[in-house]
Amino acid sequence: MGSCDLRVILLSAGAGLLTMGGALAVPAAIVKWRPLWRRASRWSAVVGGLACASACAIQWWGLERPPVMSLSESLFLLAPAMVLGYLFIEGLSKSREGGAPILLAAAGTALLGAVTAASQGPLLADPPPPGLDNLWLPVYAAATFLALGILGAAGLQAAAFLMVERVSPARGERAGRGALGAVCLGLPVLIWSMLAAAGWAQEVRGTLWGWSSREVWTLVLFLVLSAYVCLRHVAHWPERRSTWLLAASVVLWAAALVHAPLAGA
Amino acid sequence: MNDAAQGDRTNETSLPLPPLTGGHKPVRGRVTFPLACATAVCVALAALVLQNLWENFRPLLDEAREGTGLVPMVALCGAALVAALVVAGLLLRRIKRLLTSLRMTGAALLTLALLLTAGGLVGPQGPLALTGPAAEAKSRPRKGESRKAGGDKAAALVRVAHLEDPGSSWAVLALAGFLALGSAAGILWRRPVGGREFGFLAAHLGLLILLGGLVAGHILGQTVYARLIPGATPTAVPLRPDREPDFRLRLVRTETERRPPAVRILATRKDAEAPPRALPLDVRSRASIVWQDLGVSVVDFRESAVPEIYVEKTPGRGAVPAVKIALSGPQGSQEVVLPVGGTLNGSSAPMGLALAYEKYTEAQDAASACRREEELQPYRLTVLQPDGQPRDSVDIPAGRRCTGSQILLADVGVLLQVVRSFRAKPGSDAPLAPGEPAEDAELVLELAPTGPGAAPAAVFQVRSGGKAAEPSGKVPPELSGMKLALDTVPAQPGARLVEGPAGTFALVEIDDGAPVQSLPMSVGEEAKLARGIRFKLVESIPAALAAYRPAAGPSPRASQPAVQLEVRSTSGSSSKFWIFPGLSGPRDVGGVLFSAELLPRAPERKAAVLEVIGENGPLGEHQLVMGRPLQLQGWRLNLSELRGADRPEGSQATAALVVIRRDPGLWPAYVGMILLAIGAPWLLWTRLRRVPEMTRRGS
Repeated sequence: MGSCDLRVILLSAGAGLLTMGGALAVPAAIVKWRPLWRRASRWSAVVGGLACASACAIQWWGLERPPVMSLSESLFLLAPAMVLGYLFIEGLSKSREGGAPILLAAAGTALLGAVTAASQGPLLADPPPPGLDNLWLPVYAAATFLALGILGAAGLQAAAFLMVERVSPARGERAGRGALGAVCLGLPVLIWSMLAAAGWAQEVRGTLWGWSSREVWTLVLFLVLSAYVCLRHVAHWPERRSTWLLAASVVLWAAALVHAPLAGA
Repeated sequence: MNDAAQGDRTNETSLPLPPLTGGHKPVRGRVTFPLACATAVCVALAALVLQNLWENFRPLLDEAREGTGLVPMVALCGAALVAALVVAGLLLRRIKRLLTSLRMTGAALLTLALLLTAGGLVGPQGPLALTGPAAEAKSRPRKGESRKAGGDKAAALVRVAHLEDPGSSWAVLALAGFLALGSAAGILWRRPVGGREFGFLAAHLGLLILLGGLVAGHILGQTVYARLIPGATPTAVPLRPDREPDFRLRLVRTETERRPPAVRILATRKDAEAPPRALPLDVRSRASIVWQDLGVSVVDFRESAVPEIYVEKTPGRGAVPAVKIALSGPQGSQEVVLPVGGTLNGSSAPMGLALAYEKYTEAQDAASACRREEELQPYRLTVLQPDGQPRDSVDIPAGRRCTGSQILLADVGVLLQVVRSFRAKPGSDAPLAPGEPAEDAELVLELAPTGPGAAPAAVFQVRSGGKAAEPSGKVPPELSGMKLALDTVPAQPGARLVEGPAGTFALVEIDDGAPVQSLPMSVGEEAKLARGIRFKLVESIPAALAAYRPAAGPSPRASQPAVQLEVRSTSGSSSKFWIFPGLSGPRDVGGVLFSAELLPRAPERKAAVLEVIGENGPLGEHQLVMGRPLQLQGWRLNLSELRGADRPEGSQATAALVVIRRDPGLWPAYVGMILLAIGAPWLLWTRLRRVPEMTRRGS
């Protein structure tokens, strides 16, 4: 069996498990016998995330370079990072309100990755073009997609907060804390990715910063999330208002995600 | 910080916990968020106005002098200056509060993000990139010029604010400077000491040092963009009229390393309408799979081989007539087998003689084939960069095998397929009518991208005609802006063997695409052709299976990848055969068609060997590899591009573009990066530990 099939199988299985985890997260958040639903949801997410991470490892190994040359390659990195973000949110704030949107989004990403892998055929070793081949590249790949996964989970958690906060203030508060925690976790990783990109640009172009679309959108996402942390955590903005800001940053997150691959670098 | 300190005065060294619900009661003198937003917007607007005034000061002065005179302008400027001083004085009274306010920081961050978003949307790489009238608009709109579209107005605004290049926008720089001042004020007035404040101190100090390094590099650094040409006078670094340069650079040679092509195996059922499916077979690792009850394994893979056509004298499905030909001449002798409809040309032409074999059942068709003008030499498609430098070139099979053939432009990174080929008059898109004179007709190829990720229905035309031109039609993005030249001038003599009814043969000698002479032939007979080559028809094979295999032994002409597959059925029978992607057609094995395609590969390693010449003579040679900077006497050299090194002949590049920088702010910037990389997680993750505690408190 070729490695391509294994990737597709792992991603499909991962997508299925993540969908199940997302579906189970709904009763885990609202009905009785929560421990059962919670454990089922969590373990589905864990196993699904591991399956996606294994597919990502196979992809990385097979390509002989980090999969960051195109968005279709990068989907492999994004799905496990989003799952990691959700598991962190759940562990930190005990909030499962964001489980359905985050895990379903991760499942959609994994499924899209599986379809792309199946249509593109087998993996062919393809080292990066000259200039991209240096030590900063794996650091950039790992940090960028880990940060984008966690921050994407934070944005979806914020959307979940906005939905549940009016219905149940206690649940809403947990959801808000989870979103804040995810931002606090993801923001330093985003900074690392920007620094790795700067180091890479210095090696390749001879300048640390170049105002390319990749750099601009990452910087915009960083600025908005920094503003969120400043206003929410230290300047004591009302939780609902600041969470609106975080939920709206999902658009910028998508722009940063689209421009993160290095195809045109 | 100030807002925080007002929230919790008892704990000045650590930031207070956020409230569980709502905000704080308004405190007198505190910077409110609307005020902070207004201040940030004012800072950006003031910078924007100043930048435009600065850039247009001379024309404005001239206009004022010619029109109303200087007095009104001086009065206006004076009034603006007084107003600005009053506002600045008011701001300065509360500067400490402003700079240390986190609401102010948040507002400045959001304003800066908004400006960059606008630039990112409308900038050159953005989804709403400036096109149409706004793209050509000057920074000051002309009098009477109307812009109906709101998008164009927004684009013009973005242009006025210089946001399409945020690094040159004073508004962006002013807000960044404001934020840097805020960080400095935070460090200065908060005086963070102790382990709990290390994160705050490291992150803000790192940010300041990083920004300071970037600014120092911008102001004190030097950049030389050198275009090094082989054989040209050495380039001085830096170029100074008053002082001797540090050193001179001369391009000795360029080095390129090509990557072997990638091959993908495709399979489909003969009776199925579905497109061929890519098999998960890595040809390099000699992998094996089971596909639809067939065991498929890669037996051999050659990155470059010379295809040699051969026939298996096995009648049955797919069998065709073939001939065995012996050639002898000054270069030696060679025997080849040629199936009907086949052509040996280009690198596979035996002894440099292009050969074709055709068979007709009607005598008039055979006679017509003897008179037909058709090149046997492959066409050559050359891709030229906008500056006229060749980028890539590839051979396309001539004649009947042209349509459907695949072309891999590896250096450009695109795989094309010939959709249609025909001859047309210059300037006309209509194919020549039968019988129409074809003296000045041009060859027209319709090409379309193929392979994974290819744009659907993107067909474009390329014409012969002696000069390169931009192709017409929907050109794939990889070829955008490039010129294509289609060369059809044959440089190889050839012969066409035409078999008529009742086993009669005629050998047509072809030169420059036109038949020179037609000689009747029979099996065992010999004829003399150009360059002293003797042609002998050895055998006529009525039914045979034609296929390609790599020629025995290494050859300097080897260029074609080849894959040998073995297919085993459940009944135990097996079939072993070679596939040449883009050359041989699909192979039918038990009702399943196997074929192969080439995939575009990333470009190769590129390097330039430079000779460094000091004041007292040559200092030695250095290899500058693309992506790996070279340190030289305090200068940092980066190879930006090698022009003309992508030609298939592997010839030397025509120029090397090298960026040479001396950046005194680089090491401070690295120190700032390290501090920021440590301080940011320290600052935020130490807060993270308190989140569950707050959650418990809330519940």
